[in-house]
Amino acid sequence: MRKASDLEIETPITSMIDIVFLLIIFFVVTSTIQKEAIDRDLQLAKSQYTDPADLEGSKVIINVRPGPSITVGMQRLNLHNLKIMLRKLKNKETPIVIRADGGMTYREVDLVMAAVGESGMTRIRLAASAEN
Amino acid sequence: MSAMIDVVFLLLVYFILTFKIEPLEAHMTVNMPSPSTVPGQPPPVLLEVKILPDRYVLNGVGLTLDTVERTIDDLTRDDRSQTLIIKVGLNAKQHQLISLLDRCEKLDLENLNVLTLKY
Repeated sequence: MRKASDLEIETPITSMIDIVFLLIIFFVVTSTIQKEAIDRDLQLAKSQYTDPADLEGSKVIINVRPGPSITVGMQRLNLHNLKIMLRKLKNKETPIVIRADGGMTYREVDLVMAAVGESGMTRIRLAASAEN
Repeated sequence: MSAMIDVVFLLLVYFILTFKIEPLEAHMTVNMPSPSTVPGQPPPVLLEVKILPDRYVLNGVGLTLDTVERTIDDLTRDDRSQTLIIKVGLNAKQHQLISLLDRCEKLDLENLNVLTLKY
C-alpha cells in the first residue's frame, strides 16, 4: 500500500493553458479592431514640413476613399449616417481627422468636410503622410 | 510543459506575422466656416489663396506652389498670426490642398481657413 506522501502533487497546467490561450485570443482580437481605425491602403498626400502627429488618443478618424466611400473604424458609412454618428458625440471639441486619398478631387472631400461641419464639430484636421 | 511552449511559440509566430509599423502621419489643423444659416459679415480678407486644378491664385495672380510660399512668407513676415483664407475649387486635388497647408506649417502660420469655391 502506498503512503499519501508518495503521491505526486501536480497543478492542473493543461486547463490553465487553455484559459490563458482564450484570454490572449480575446485581447489580440480586440486590439486588432482598434488598430484598424486607419485604412492603410489610402495613399495620403505627402507632407515635408509638418511634424508627425500622435495616432493614439481620443479622436475620430474618418477614412475617405474616392467615391466618396467613408469608413470609420472599419465601418462603412454614408454621409447621412456619418452626420448622425457625429451628432451623437457629446464633446464637440473632439478632434476629427479626415484621412482623404491625395488623388481625390476636393469635390468629394468637401462633402465629408461639410458633413463634419454641419454636425457641429469644430476641430477638423487633415491627415498627410509624414514619411519620407 | 511542452504544450505551453507550443502555445507560446504559436503566439510568437502570430504576433510576428501581424506586426505592422505604425505609419507616420501629420495632422493639419484648419478652420471651417460655422454652419450658421444667417449669412454673416464677411471678415476682412488679408490673404486669400485660391486652389485651382492647375495653379494657385494669390490675390488674383496665378502662381506655382513655390512662388505662393515665397509671397506668403514676404507678406506675413511681420505677423505670422495673420488669417489666411484658402479657397479650394471643387476640381482641385486633395494633395494640392495638403501641399499648401504643409508650406503654411513651414512658415508657422496658424490661422488657416478652408473654404470651398462652388465651381
